[in-house]
Amino acid sequence: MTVQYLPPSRQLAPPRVAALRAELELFVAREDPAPPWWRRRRNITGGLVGVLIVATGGGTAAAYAHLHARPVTDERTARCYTVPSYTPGFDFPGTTIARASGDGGVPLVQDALDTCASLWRVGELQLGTLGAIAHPSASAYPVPALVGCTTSRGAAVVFPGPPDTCDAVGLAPESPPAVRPAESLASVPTAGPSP
Amino acid sequence: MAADDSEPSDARLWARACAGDPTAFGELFVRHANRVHNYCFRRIGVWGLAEDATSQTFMETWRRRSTIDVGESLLPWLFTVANNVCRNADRGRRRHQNLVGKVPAPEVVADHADEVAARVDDERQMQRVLAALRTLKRADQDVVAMCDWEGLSYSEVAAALGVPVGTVRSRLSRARTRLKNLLIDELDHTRPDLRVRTEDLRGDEA
Repeated sequence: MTVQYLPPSRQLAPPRVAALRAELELFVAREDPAPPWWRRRRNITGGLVGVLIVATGGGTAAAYAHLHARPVTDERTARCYTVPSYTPGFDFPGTTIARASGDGGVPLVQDALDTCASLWRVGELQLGTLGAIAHPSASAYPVPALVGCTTSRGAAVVFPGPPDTCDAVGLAPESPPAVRPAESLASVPTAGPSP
Repeated sequence: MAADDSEPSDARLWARACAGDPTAFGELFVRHANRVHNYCFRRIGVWGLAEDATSQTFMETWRRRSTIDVGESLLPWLFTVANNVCRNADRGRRRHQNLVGKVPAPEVVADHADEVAARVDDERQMQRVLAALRTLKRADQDVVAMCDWEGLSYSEVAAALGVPVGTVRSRLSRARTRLKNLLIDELDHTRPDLRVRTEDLRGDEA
C-alpha cells in the first residue's frame, strides 16, 4: 500500500458544502434536458404573447409581465447579474449568492437586492464583469440602480437597470416590487492612480 | 442506528435526481463531497484547485448521467469522472471559476494560521507523492488512487474503469512496487524525519 505517504484528509467547511450544494442543485435544475419534440406541449400563453408582441408592440409584453409579477419562493440562492441581460445557463455575467442559515444547514437568501447592492458597493461586482472580482482596487464603488426579477422556478435574479428591466429580459418582476435607486460615491476614492 | 437504515441508497437518490429532483443530487453531493474533495487533492496537490475540481466532478457526473449505471455506490463513478477532471484542471479551471468564484467565501475565523500552515505542508507532501505518481502510466495512476488511496474494491474499480478485475490487480501490483521504490528514495533525500517509516517499509518488503 502507498496510502501512508499521503497527507491527512480534510473536511470542507459546512457552509461551503451548503453553498456548493445550492449551486449544484441550481445547475441540475437548469440542466434538465428538454423533452423530445413529440412530447412537448405548445405553450399557448407564450404563443399568445408572441402574437400580441407582433400585433401591438413591446408595450403589451410589458403589461403581460407586470400582470405576472411573481414572488420569490426559492430562497436557497439568488443571482446578481452585472449586465441587464438574462442568461439562464450556468455561465453568466455575475455571481450567485447563498447564505448559510444559523444552524449551518440550508442556505437562505432573504434579501437578494440588498446583498447584491453590497457586492456592487465593495466592487466585487462591476458592470459587465463575468464573475465576482476577488480583490477590487478601491475601497468603495457606486451602486447602479438595481431591480429584482423572479425566474420561473421562483428564484430571485437582480439586474442593474431601471424598473422595467425584468420585462426587457423576459422575466417576471418580483412581487412585491424590488427596486433600488442608484447610489453614487460622494468622496470615496475610486480605482486608478490619483493625479 | 435506525436513522442510518432509513437513509436512501445512492441508487435511490440518483434515480430521484434523474427523475427531476435536484435536491436528491444535492444529498448525493453532501454525502460524497469530502471523499471527492480529498481524492481531487490527491490527484492535483493543491487544496484550492481540489475544491474547484470537486464541484466540477459533480457537474460532469450529472452531464454524463445517461452513461452511468449506479450500483451500490456512486463513488466509483465520481472518482472516475474526477480522474479526467483533475487531468484537465488547468484547462477547466477558467470555466469552473464561474462556479466557485460565485460562491461567497467562507466566514472569517478568529485565527486560522495553523490551518493554513498545515495545508501548505499537505500540499508540499502531496506534490512529492504526485511527482512520483506521474512517472507511472496514466492507467496505473488511476488504479493506485482509487484502490490504494480511496479503498475501492477491485471489482468497483474494474466496473468504473471498464476493464477486467485481473487488469486492475496487475496494474495495481506493478504500480505499487514502482511507486514505493520511488517514494522511499525520494523521502530519504527530502524527509529524513520519515526515514524510520521508510525503513519499516523496506523491512516489510524483504
